[in-house]
Amino acid sequence: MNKTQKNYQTLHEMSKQHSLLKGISALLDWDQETYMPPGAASNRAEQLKVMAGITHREKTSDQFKDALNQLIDLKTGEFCASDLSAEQQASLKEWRKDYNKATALPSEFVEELAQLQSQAINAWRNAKKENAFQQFAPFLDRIVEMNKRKAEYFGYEEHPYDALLNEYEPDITTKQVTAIFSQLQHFITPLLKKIVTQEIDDSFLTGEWDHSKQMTFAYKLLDAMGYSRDKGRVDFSSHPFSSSTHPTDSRITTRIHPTSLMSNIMVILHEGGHSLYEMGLPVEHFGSPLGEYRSLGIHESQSRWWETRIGLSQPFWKHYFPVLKETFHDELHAIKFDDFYRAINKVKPSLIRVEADEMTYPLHVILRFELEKGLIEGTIKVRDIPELWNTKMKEYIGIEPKNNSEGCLQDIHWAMGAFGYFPTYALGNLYAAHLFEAFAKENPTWEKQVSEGQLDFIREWLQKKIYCHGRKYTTLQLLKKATGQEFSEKAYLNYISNKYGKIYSL
Amino acid sequence: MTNAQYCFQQLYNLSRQNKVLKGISSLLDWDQKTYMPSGAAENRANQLKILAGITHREKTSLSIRNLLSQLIDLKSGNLTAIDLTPEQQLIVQEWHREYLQNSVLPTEFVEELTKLQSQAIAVWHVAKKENDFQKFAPFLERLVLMNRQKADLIGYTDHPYDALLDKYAHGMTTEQVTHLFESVKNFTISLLAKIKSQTIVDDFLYSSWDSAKQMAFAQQMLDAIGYSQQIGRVDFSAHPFLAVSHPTDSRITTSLHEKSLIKNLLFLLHEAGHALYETGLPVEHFGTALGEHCSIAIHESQSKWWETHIGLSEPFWHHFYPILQKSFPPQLEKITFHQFYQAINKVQPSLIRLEADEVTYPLHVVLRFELEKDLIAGNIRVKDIPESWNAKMQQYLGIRPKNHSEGCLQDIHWAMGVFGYFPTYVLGNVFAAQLFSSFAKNHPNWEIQVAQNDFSLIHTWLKNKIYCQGRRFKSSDLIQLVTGSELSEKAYFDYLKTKYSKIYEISIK
Repeated sequence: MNKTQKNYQTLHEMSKQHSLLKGISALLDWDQETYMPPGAASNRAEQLKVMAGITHREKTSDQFKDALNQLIDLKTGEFCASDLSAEQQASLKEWRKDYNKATALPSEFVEELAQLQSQAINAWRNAKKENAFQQFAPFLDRIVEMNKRKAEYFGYEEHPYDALLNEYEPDITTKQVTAIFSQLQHFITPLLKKIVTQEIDDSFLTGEWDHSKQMTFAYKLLDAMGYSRDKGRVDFSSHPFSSSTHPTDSRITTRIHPTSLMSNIMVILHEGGHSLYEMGLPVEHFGSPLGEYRSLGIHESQSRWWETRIGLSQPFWKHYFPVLKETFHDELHAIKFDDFYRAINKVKPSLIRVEADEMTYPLHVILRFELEKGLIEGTIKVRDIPELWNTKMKEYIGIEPKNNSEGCLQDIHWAMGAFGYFPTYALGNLYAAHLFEAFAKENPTWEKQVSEGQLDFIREWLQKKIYCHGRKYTTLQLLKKATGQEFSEKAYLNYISNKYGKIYSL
Repeated sequence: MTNAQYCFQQLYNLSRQNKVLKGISSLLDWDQKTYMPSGAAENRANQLKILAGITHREKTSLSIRNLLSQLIDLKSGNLTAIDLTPEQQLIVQEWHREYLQNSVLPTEFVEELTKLQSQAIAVWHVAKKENDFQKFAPFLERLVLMNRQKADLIGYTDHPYDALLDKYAHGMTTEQVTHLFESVKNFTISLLAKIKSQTIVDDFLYSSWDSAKQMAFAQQMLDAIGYSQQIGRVDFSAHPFLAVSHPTDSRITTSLHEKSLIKNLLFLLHEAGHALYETGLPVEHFGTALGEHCSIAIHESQSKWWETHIGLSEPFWHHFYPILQKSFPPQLEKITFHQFYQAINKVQPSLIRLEADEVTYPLHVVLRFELEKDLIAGNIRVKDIPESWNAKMQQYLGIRPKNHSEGCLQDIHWAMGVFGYFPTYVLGNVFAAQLFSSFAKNHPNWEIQVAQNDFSLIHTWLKNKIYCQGRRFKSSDLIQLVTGSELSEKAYFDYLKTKYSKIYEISIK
């Protein structure tokens, strides 16, 4: 092996250690949300703090820096070796970005943030339960402050929010997101106004649904999607999530809604979509950027793909509605397919983001984006959040929360300190639509295949187009490479107007 | 702040961080045994390896050495700092002892061993399931080899096993244990000879018991003895265990027995006994020896205390038996208290250590001790283990396993690379008996209180005598301090004689 290859391997080995450490923290998070005894919260905060400190130290160590510097100039980004493969070059570029990002933050800052997050999650949980925004507000204040400082450490050209967004969606700016979101909002809100005048009957989707039957059906879906149960598992948590520490350990959580049949199904498809992406990442590249997911926006495109493009489609339910009917015979035997399909696609403004329908969902995200952008730029104060939240809900979606638990306290993200994360939810929809258009073109019989219960070929397509590439390409490059087209929001707008035009005969 | 206080504070920060990392490893281990997807074993091994490596590097770092050497002479162990409080002195001495123990093991060795352990556990699970010792043997060979290397690195005067035993029963030697175990073995075999012929009916304990009802009853029991769900939880695993990361996070597992009701309940009392010790340790001392358990052997005395002295006692069931009857009316409504008490204390040689009764249990442990001592000394080969196991089972208990899954593959310990641990199970019995007889002497009305579901007397006593002491003393010194007499097996023998002569209506001298 020549010197360059040896250096690359050394670097990869060191980086693998970082990924392992990150995986351990992910498991601590998973446990905190699923099984941890409540009294252990402050100890868990200390554990996470220690892990964050160690991970940070390792990622910014002189040894790692030296190893990286052998292959790529950290300042200029020029390669120091001529015999690197294109893949390796791509990987080194990403490593360099990661390193520069990691060294931008002092370790005390990272540790402090990790501890604050852990405490804030607890405070948020209680505040949500007791509908007491006041309890959470001081933590949110501190989290906003620290995120502002974080943005300063990272640096930005136009907007401090750019620096935060960059962590989750490195290829896109605040300005671009603002423009896309504004277009989306102006497209959806008027459409929504037309739609809400028509009432679809979906009352038969509400009732009492046996929990274990719900989970049996859920496992059928996961199995069909190709979710390996020996590399993943399903648990319950108050806010569903997926948590991966390695392609062989990619877990999801769900929750059983007290009355809604579709809630758990949609969560399973969504989190299952995330988890399949992680399971499909090239394991031989574990520890290098080539073995990591591209961006959260792309991640979200994978979950929304399964949740909406598959899970809310006619062909999917052609196959699975009979199975569901068999599972809940008493409740569903008299329901016709068309009524079921219309019901699950019913557009109905609702208060809770994770329960929102496909059309109103992006509006929930846009609202959060605007608020958090305002918090970071300092034009909005934490204490004004509840009021602003409610106003925007009214304006965009046409309804208003009665309390903060179903308003600004509903999501865990701010408690986790994750500013810049929300936009990826809506971007994920747009990416998914863009990708799906190409998928449908390449697989003209997809509807027939899916209606026969085949789902494997979908995962295989995604494996080939998305999973296997890790972070080899930037988000926009990846989208173009997969589809042959430059990314735009057009596919999404077309999809929405076609689908809902039909359902609502507009 | 003086230099000594500054050094102490720095060492404390490092020590606390290491304790936190240990807690994280314990959670990874808990997850591996409870919820981890099977395909993730290799990755988990790597995670544990890296944590072990980091912890070890931290524990043996130059900065620890430099800080310590400003407080204590590293060679002689004599304190050199003058302005440390007596508590701080003790803490520093323990840091010094740990430092010496850790610094003899190279980081690569620790990482390697940790990874091997994690792989071996996965293989052991399969081998046990498939009754295939061959599959496990190469891993066991490597584990024995590495443990022997470990013993050589740590150093010993008489027997390489001393070096391993010390970690779990600090202050006890192989010779002492060998001697004590001979005595226990002879006593038990002769006791068994007397009660073997007697018969107690316990068929009714073996039927089908609804798991949800079992766990609901178990929860009442755990609530009563003070194991709080705020700081603990109960899960299921192949082999019951305790996973601690902090006095506020002390989890236990159990395994539901297909047929036996009482096994699950005793597992839970056993593990909860461990957990109560951990949750009772002074949290303000977390990260120093004062906030640590004394030794594994003392730990085991705490589990045995609740499992046998309470969980197999008449007063405990005076309260709980009526509740149990109500939970399982079809199976128990016609069974009298006396029948029940006799049945749960029935002595009957059996193949599985975890299912053994109180009397035969030590023989299972003595057997394992003898085998692992010989493995480490090189007097026996891994390939001979199955045969030696079976021969000893025949000799001590009069029965022979039909396959390795119920023989030498039954326990996880060797797969975990843990040698020197088994003896603590019997030391726990012996310690528990000596402690309990002292407790009972001080509190002659304990039986009345326990029969009224009141455990406050016990909690206070254990808290004041054991928990609060952390690791201020060596095991045997703690026993002497608490009971006023030297460590001896007498109380243990007396306890068994009194209890079983009554149950079996025989005279035992």
